[in-house]
Amino acid sequence: MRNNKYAVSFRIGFQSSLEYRFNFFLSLISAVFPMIVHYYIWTAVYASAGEQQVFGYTYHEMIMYTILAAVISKLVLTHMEYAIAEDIKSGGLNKYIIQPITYFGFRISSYLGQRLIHFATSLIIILVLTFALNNSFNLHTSKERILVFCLSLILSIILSFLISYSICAFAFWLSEISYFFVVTSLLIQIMSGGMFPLEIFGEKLQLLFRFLPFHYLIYFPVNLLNGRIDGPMVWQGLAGQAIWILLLLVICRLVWKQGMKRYLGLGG
Amino acid sequence: MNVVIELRRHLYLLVLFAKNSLLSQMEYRFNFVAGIFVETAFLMAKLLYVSVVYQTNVHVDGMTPDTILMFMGTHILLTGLYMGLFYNNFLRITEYVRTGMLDLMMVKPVSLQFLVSFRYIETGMPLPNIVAGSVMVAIGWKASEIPFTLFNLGAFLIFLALATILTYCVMIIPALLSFWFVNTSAASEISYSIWDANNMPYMIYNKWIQRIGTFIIPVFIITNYAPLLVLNRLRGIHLLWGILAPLIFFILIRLLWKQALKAYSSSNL
Repeated sequence: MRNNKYAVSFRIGFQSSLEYRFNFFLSLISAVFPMIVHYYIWTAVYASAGEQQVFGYTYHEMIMYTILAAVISKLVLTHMEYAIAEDIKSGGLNKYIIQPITYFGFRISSYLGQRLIHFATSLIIILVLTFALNNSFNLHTSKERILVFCLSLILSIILSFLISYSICAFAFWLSEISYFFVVTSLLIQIMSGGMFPLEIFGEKLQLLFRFLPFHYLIYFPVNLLNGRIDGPMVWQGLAGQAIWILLLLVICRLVWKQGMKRYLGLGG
Repeated sequence: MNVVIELRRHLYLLVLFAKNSLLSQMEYRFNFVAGIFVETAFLMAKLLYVSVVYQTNVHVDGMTPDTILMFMGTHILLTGLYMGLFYNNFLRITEYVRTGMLDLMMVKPVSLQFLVSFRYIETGMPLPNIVAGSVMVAIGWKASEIPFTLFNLGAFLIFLALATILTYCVMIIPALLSFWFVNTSAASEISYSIWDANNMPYMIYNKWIQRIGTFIIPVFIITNYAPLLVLNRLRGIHLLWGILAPLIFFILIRLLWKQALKAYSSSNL
C-alpha cells in the first residue's frame, strides 16, 4: 500500500511524457544541428592536423563521442529546476507537507516515469547510431559493452535528478532564481562533457572535473560505449556513479532539511 | 519626401523605445546585472570553440585560426545585436497572439510590425557579446593583415547591417508561426540551434549544406559575408546575393506577416 502512491506518481509522469511526446521528438531534432556542426568541425580538424589522434581521440572515436553526447545530453539533463523552484517560491510545497507523501519521493517517481519513454526512444536511437557508425567505421561494439552502457545510463539519469534536486534547494535562499538555473545548467552541460570531450580543458581542469559528479552524466557513458573506457576502469566508473548517488542522497536530504526551515509557504 | 518623414518618425520612435526600455530595466537593476551575467556564461561556452580552433590549429579552406576568429567574432557580435534588438520582442509576439494583446497594439498609429518588432530593446544583455565579438573581429582583422582603410571598414559595417536585416528575417519566423500554432517553443528551439550552428566559416560544410544555408535559409550570409568581403574572397554572384538577399527576404517576411495577421483570431483570454 505504501508504495502505491509512488507508483501513481510514476504513472502520472509517464502519462505526461506521452502527452508531450512530440515536443521531445522535436527537441531531438534540435540536437541534430550541434551534431552536424561538431561533425564538420572535427572532420576539418583531423583533416588539417594530419595526425592520428587529437586530444587522445582517434577520428572515429571523436565522431562517435560527438554524436552520442548530443543524444545523451538531451536525455540526461533534466531541466526540472524551474518546476521545483516554482513550488518553493509560490507555496506549491504546502500540499506535500500536509499530504502523506514525501516531496522527494513524488518528484523522483514522477521524473522516472517521465524519463521511461524518453529513455526507450533515446536508447533505440543510440543503438541505431552505434550500429550505423560501427558499420561505416568498421568497428565492433560488443553486447557486454552495450549492457554496461545501459546500466551506466540508468545511473546517470538518477544522478542527474539528484544533482538538479540539490541545486533546486538554492531557491530557498535566493530571491531571483531563473537566471541562476540558466547558468548552472550551462555549466553542468560543459562539465559533463555534453559540449566537448573533457580532454580539451587541459590536464589541470580535467583533474578537477574528475572529483566532481558531472562527468558521470555524459562523458563516462559515451566513452564507455565508444570503447575508450575499458577493463577495470569500467567498474571503477560504475562504482563512482553509485558512490555519487549515495553522496548526493545525503546532500539532498541535508540541504532540503535546512531549506525547509526557511520555507515561507507563500500563496499555495 | 514622405519616405524621409516616415523614416525620421520611425527612428525617433526607435530611440524612444530604447530609452523607455532602459528606464524600465533600471527599475529592476538586479535583473539587468543578472542578464549580463547569464550572457557572459553563454559567451564563455562559445569561447570553447575558439579554444578548440587554436589548440588544434585547424585550417579551413586555407584560413588560419586567426582568420577563423574573425568569423567567430562576427557570429558573437551578431548574437549580441540579435539579443539586444530582437530576442525579447520575438519572444513576446507569441504572447501577444495567445492572449489577444495584439488587439490594442493594432489600433496605435504606427506600423504594427514595427511596433511588435522593436518595442523592447535590451541594453545590458547584449554588451558582453558585442564587446567580445568586436575584440575578436579586431584581433582576426589585424592578424589576417587586412588593410585598415575607411573603405574596408565601411564595407564591413554595411555588410553587418545587411546581416542584421537577415537575422531579423530568419529569427522572426518561429514567432510568426504562433499565429497558426499555439505552441512554437520547439520551432524556436530549432531556430536557436541553427543560429548557434553558424559560428564557424561555412566552408567547413559540404556543398549542399552550403547552398541551402546560403540561398534557402540564408543563415550563412549572416556570419560569413562581412569577413569574406574584407578578405577579398566575396566575388561575383555571392557579392550580388549578399546585397540582394536581405531585400528579398525582407519583402518575403513582410508578405508572411500580412498572411499571419489574416490568421489572427484575437482570442482574448
